[in-house]
Amino acid sequence: MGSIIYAALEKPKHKDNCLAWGLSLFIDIKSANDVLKSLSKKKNQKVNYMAVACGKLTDNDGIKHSSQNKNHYTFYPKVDFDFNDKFTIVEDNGK
Amino acid sequence: MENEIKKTVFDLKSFRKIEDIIFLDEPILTHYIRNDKNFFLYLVDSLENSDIFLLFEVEMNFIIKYITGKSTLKSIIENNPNLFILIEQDFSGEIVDVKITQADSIDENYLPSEDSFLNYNPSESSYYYDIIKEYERKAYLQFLRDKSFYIKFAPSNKKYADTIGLNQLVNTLLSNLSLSFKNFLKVDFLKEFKYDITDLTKLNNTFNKILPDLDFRMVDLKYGSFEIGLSIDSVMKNSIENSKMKVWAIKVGDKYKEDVLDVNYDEENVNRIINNYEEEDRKKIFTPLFNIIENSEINFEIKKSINSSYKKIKINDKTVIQKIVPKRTETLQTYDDKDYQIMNVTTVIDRNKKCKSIDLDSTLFSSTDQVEVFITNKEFSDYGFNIANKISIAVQIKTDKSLIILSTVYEETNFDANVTTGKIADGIKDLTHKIYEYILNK
Repeated sequence: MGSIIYAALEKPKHKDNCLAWGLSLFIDIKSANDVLKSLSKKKNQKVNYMAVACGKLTDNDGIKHSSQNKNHYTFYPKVDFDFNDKFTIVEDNGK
Repeated sequence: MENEIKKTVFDLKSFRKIEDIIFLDEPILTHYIRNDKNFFLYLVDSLENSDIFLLFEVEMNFIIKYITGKSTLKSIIENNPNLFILIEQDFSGEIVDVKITQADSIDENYLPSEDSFLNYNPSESSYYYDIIKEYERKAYLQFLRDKSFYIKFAPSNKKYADTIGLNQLVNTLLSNLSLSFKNFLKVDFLKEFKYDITDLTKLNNTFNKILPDLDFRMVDLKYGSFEIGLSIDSVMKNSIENSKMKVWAIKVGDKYKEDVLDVNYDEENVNRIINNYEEEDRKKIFTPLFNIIENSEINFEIKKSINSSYKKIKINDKTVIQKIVPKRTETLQTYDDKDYQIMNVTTVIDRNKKCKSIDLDSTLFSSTDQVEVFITNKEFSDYGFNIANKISIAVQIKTDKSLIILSTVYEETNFDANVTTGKIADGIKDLTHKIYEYILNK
């Protein structure tokens, strides 16, 4: 699960990139861990991706957008979406 | 004022973005092209107001290996001989600093994990979709080629140099090879699974179901003298659900190569063949093969891999063929080489003419497989059987090669007569006799 601080808000250069206005989701835990392992050590430390969280989403939770990599989605949650309620931290990942 | 002028030291606008390969809330690894060269832009650090990127050229084959999970991102960076450009870009998109470096000087903290494999699953709109499909097709072909063996048909007569005639190739050589292999598959399958599936019909059905998956794959081809690389696929056998059958299916091609094609027909091998296969099975497997080997117009050769040398398959001792495929010495029942056909003749005759011979030139002919005629009191009377009541019985007449078969049903009882003389009258006589006896005894 990605940061709740949207990249487009933090970095104006991404304001025209729709995908930067959502959160990155992955089709399975392996795909999420693959991406974590592909981050540089510096980047990993800075953004502090500590764990992968897993959850099931429905159309009632928001909009899911497919990217060109079918293992990755961008999720645009509804305003009242509760991450803590929907996602559970998966142990033993990305370490 | 001069200090406030922002100097553009590097312009990413001359690079054409292809696709974000890794996206985690923002682009992490992006593929660009500039002047037909491929580049990766890799986000390695985010400072308070700027991002640090590595920009480097990468060969397309390395990109494919990376996105198909064959190599890691770290290895692509570490083994890259090109220069790396370290770019600092502020959050508004302006490049504020550029440094040139090389792989072995890159800060270790700017590198991903050792096991930075990626499983990229491209959608149909992805730039990589067709590239990966083509790569997998070639990789599959290469995988098969690495395991393939080669056979070669070369003419022994150099009249047409090394070329093989198309008809000879298709009708004599390939068809015999294919028949031998197909027969071997069935023989070996029945031997292997006859105790697992005891119902013969079910066993045959199972074989026919998996037969398409058992074929050798043609992975290489050279013309002139006809050379063909054949391989046993082990990947696609996953469609065979039964695990024992799947193992057999993967090995059976090699077994054919070792036991049938790639043998020296010495005494030891001949005895092994005789011990392993029944005579009828040996005939099915080896007769088509001997048709090729014994063809004096052709040299039949085999080699174990693309880089090994061809070895001619030949049988020096002709008694070997007799041992493997013995010719029958007992006298077989033979039939006249006749093939009867029923011919209907339609013509017109003069009732008043005494001689009623038929001029065939003025008739209408038609051939048929079967015809129905009626035998009446007249036919019975002609053969000396007088029946008091009026009778008319429909008789079916048909032919089967040199046999004429007459059959009828009278009072729900079947009567038939087979004629080998070619004379229908003999059959009518036989049939009327049987029916007359039936009438007398009822």
